[in-house]
Amino acid sequence: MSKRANPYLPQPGTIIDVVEETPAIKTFRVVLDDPEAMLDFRFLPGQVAQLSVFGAGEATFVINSPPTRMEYLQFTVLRTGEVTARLHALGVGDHVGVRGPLGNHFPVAQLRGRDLLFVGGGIGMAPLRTLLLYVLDNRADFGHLALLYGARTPQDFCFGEELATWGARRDIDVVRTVDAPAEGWDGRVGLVPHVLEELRPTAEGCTAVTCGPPVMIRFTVQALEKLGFGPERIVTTLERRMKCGVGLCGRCNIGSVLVCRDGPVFTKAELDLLPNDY
Amino acid sequence: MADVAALRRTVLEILPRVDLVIGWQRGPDALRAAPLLMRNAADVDRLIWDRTCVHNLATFLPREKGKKVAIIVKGCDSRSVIQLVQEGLVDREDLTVIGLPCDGVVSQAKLRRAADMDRLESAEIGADHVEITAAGKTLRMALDAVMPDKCLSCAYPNALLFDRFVGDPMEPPQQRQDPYARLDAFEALPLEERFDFWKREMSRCIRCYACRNACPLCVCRDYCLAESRQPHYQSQESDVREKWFFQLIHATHLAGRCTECGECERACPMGIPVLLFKKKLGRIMTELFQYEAGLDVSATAPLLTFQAEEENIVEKQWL
Amino acid sequence: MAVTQRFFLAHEGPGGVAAWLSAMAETMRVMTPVREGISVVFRDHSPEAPLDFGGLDTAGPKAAVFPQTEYLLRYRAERTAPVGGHRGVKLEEVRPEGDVLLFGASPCGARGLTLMDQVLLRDGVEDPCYRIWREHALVAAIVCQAPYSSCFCNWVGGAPDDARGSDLLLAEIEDGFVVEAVTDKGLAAVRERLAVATEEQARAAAERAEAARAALPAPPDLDDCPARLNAAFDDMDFWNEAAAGCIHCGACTYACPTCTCFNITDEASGLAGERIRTWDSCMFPNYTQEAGGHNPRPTRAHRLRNRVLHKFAFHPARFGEFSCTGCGRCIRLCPMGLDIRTIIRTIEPRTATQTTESRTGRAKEAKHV
Repeated sequence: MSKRANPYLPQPGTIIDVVEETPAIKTFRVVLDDPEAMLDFRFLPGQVAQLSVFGAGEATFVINSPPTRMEYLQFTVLRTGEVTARLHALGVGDHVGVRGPLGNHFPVAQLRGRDLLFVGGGIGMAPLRTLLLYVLDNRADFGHLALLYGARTPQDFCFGEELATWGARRDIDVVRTVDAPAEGWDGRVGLVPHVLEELRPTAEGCTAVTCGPPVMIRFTVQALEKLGFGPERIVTTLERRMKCGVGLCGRCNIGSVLVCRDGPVFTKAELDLLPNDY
Repeated sequence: MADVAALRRTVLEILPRVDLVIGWQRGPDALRAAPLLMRNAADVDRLIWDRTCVHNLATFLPREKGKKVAIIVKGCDSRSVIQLVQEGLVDREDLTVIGLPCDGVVSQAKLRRAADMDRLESAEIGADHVEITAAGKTLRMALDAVMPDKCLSCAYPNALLFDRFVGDPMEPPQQRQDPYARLDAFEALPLEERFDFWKREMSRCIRCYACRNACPLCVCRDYCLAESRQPHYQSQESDVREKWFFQLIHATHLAGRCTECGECERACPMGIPVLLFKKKLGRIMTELFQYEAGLDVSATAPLLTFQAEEENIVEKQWL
Repeated sequence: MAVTQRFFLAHEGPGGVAAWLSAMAETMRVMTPVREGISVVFRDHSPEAPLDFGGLDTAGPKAAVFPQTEYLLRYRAERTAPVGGHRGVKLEEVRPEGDVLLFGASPCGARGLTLMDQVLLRDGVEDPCYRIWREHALVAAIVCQAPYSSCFCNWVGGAPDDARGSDLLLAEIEDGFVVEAVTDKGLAAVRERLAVATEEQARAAAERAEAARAALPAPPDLDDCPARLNAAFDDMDFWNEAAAGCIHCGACTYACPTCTCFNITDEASGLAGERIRTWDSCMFPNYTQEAGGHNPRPTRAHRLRNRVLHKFAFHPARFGEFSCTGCGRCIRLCPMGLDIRTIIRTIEPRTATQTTESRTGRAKEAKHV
């Protein structure tokens, strides 16, 4: 038997908590069964992992709990396909597999000392959450913080309790928006890129981190550029259908870049070098 | 065969009124053609029409749905078009059919068995023969010897559905082979031999699905049972059971719809005789329902409808 | 650096092919090319079955070291959880076992293994099953004597007597094969068993190889091919036309000696099951279909473009050589008669005005065809 590590082998884990975020989104908190593996699990915000439901398969999710809080690994899952449907049927005590951390991470070293603008849409809030919590846990290292979070309807926001907590803090500006007016909603109404342009955040000294559906990202990036954010100062993540997650299966290429290994985090400057294939 | 100049003139005439015209062009060698999608007049220069034009281009019609499409068809190909129209898989109004008379094409599979086609140097197709020079050897063969089985038993040499017909309609050629001759020969074998035969043939299958994708009537595409995970019909394992299972479902889905054009078998890169499955089902359909697919746009395929009392299905009379 | 050693494997007799294969079969699985209808496939060697060395094995030697299905792990749960999950899951790694001799591969197929190595045996992360297969496989390739019309190995740095990827390279002469031991593994397999080739035999083999090389038409210059392809990336008119006849099956990729893309799925049976790795094809619409509904390569033109650029632009950018051995299997086996040579030879960047229409037409094309 080969002594080399098997990159396909997941670590057994157990679900210790399930949070119903929206009708289609659930958050799972997972602890690796081997306590040492849990201690050894080192990652940075933005890295992903493959979650296994044995018999259904694997799917890729960002680890949206920050590395500064290692009681569990948190994954937020939109029900869309085979694996996610099976995940949604799981409860506390069920066994899953965890393979990770995989991929690159947000450029936390370069973000240090800067103002940060988080722009999220729908389940795209998940990768932003890990970075945001990491930043809050190292608050003194960063400048001004702002979050713009959009969802289709008021029911579609994830992390509701945390949003309320952040909104109450003085050291972060939180703006929420929904796509269309809704009963009982007194927040902003409008698509994320439009609201972003209305808010006119200052680009000076600030890096924007955006994550959401592909269409939202495209127009948000355009809006950010209009606001004066340079291509190095816009950070986003790409979605791609991944299988192996370790750069072997070949499925997630954009040009000669593999999203699973070289991504999922890219600056606009890096995206500009890629062919138009995403 | 109709002359290619006349065909090109017809295409040029139709081209301004449609988004594209589907025909054939020369392929990688002198005896292989490739599909040609013509969008402007310059493309028409590359159009060919000869006995190497084997592809049933009807397979592109559902893919181009929504566009104004003209298609060039042989008699056998036109039956697929009829079946597609009959099932509402293409809109007749969007379609311009250019019909051709055809008394046979050449089979790469048969040519390969006879000559070193990978080292083909030159080829000449005459009225009743093919002369091939390959690997330094020249070989003259009767056309009948290198035609696909379907041409040897062809009953429809002229396109059955067309808006324009190029050339003069042909009398059906004399049938040189029973359409089910190969099936008869196969079914005469003992069960065990037949089982071993399929085990060996299917073990070569690489699950590339060229058979499925070349089929003009296999329209599920990315919702195919072969890859579906929800429901999870098939394992992705490449064992004989899975491959064979797919072939049988494929053939069953085509029962009463398949015109036995043979594209599945022609397309198979591993040379697996998958048309036999469809022949078997086709014969059952003919016997049970006296129905032949792809002859009448207003008909309904037998398995897409029902009769309370079927004429040739004996009820068990259970009370 | 050891002096290349050449041995002689006679067609018949005690030092002959049959005797040597039998001797090898005592310690390993022996696979040889056999003709079945119009295909040549590798099968477990049977002394009765005639070997087919005349040409190219249809689907290449890839499957011997990269099986279409590889079992990665088995799982078994103790019981089903109340809602549909598993409790008490046990995982077991699965590893391939046993040595295999692949006798009679084509040099272009064998060379493909070195290109597969670049992807699957990278520094840091490697495919553990492929590693084992590669270490346990002994590849004996046979020098081509006369090229096919679909051959273009000399376009991409290959040759009919390319030894890369082979452990043994056999060149057929009058009464047998001159065997070059390319690797130590190859040397060990022949050193004690075969006679050393005479100088005359070695010379005859070299002459045959030289003649085979000379039989290939002069190659075009492909140095600027990656640049031309990259420049034409957005020229959808070109790609639509190139892919016009494509039915997006997997014949080209599955027969390709360098294609390694794979899928991973779970196949369950009650409480137990397997996680398997199976060949996948970038020509399939599902390949890039994202769970959220977006498909970055919705048409066959997008998919063909990726396949061609992967081989002639993206892979070279990372590894410095084309991911193509010029074996021509994709040309031979394409049911629709597509020819990759036409694309890499003819593609030229067009001016912006020539391609504007295709860019604006992208949304219109965006459906699964």
